[in-house]
Amino acid sequence: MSREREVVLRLSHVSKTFGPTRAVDDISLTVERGSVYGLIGPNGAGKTTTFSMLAGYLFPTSGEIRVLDYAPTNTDALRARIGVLPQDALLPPNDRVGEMLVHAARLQDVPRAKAEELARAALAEVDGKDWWKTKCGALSHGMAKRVALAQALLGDPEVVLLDEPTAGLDPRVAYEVRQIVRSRKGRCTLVVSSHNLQELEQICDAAAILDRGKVVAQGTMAELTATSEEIRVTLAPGPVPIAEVRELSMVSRATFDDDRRELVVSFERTTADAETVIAATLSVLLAKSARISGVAKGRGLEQRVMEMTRE
Amino acid sequence: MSPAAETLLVAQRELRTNLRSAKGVALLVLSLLGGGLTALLFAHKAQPKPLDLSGTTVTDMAPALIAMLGLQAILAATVWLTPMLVSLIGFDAIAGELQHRSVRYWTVRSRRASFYVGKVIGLWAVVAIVTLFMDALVWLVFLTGVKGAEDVLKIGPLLWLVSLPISLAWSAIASLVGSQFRAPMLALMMTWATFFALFISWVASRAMRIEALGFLYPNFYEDWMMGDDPKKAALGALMCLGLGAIVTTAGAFAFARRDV
Repeated sequence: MSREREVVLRLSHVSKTFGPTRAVDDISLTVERGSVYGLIGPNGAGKTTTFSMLAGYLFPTSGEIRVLDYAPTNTDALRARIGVLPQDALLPPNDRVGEMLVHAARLQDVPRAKAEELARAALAEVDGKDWWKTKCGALSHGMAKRVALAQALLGDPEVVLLDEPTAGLDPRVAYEVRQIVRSRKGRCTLVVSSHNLQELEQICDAAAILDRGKVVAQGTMAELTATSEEIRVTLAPGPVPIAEVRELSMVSRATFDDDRRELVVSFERTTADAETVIAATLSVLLAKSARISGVAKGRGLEQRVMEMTRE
Repeated sequence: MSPAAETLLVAQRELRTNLRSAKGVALLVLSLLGGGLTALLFAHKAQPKPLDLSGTTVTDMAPALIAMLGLQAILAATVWLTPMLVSLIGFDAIAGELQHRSVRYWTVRSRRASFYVGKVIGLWAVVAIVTLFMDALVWLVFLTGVKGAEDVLKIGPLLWLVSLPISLAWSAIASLVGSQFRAPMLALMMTWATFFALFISWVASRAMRIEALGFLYPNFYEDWMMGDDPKKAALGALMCLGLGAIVTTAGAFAFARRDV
């Protein structure tokens, strides 16, 4: 088994109930080592419950979860190998940032002499080295989120779980946090739960779409967004030579949405790749003087999620 | 990393956090003021003259009543203040972390049981330190006032040592009750309710002369530990420590199996 194909997170028929409410219902999914995996879905879909079970905060009602081949609550085996950014956990308000991170490092079995060095490095990575002596309670929301991210990245864990890493942040800080997450890509396995679909589309290799506690779709991002099955061409007012496009040999279907002025061209992934279809379609459109505003592969994660999770 | 090492780290943090928090400092100052003022009042009023209990109100009789108290009685009062001190210091130790979910930063790094036991030990250590400061001030006042060094050094440290197993048991009970709730105020109320129920069981044990009824009330063992019989004193200490250990184990077991 190659390193890339190694499964580091596995949920098998996992359910979680809170009283009469079934928050997660028979979920099964796997995450491969080194990948960035997204948990997607609307509010109440079960993302955070699934995330919390992966982190060992919640016990599943049924089913099995393995993280690096251990139960998530096996802290001794997973210590320092897994880093977690919980969504709404307050940093201890009376602790100074430095001592909080040093304490976290010490609990990761880092010797006292090295704990501070590690904590300072993690804080520097989130651009917060000046906050070492600041009390956690005095941090702004954005600063606190970055400190929380620093504790999740402390000691280069193999698996990092991030629950809504950019929620409630202003665009600039959200961008910076995204950059930090991107910089970790390839260095560890990342699981990101988020509402921000554009963000997930950009950084994730694969994802699961959850709705009402169930996985309604999962796969690579290309599979989820059908990037190898359709292209979308946005046209400005003018001619729409849809019949000519349909005549292209690799095209299986072509439709035009008048309202969005979007031409959707579907094709079999076995007959051509998206780039070939784009080239052929644009040639036809340009030849017929169509005015092209934009071209995109696939249907976009947002649209896919809307389709999969509609009422 | 061993559970003992994890527990020690959690306890150290708990100690540090409590002793410099506003609540910890306020309780320390209040304890010192209470202990010191009571002792000063006693030292001032305890003159070698016949006691005058002819007053008509408690206020009138206060100097005489205070004079009747000895060093031992004042220090014993600090032992009886232990449950209040434990509940006020420890009510949000676990419930607060659960409410704000800060516990999630620690339970991915330490065993739940170690976290819980560390919290109990940290609370115990804080209470022991506050009691020691309070007692030390009383010793100091008595040393400079009405008692000889021999009396103070004999009774003072002994009573503080007696307070240790008692405060462990109270800390364990408070942590067990407090950890069942996410709202610190609810945890405090339920802790007080539990303490009161235990107090009633102790009162009942006295009234009904059924000693076993008082076994769950940690201060019950004070009599045993302060008595003249060394075997019974040792048994009292062991029973009290055992009570603390059993309740802590039960709390750690429950905490390790709950969602956080």
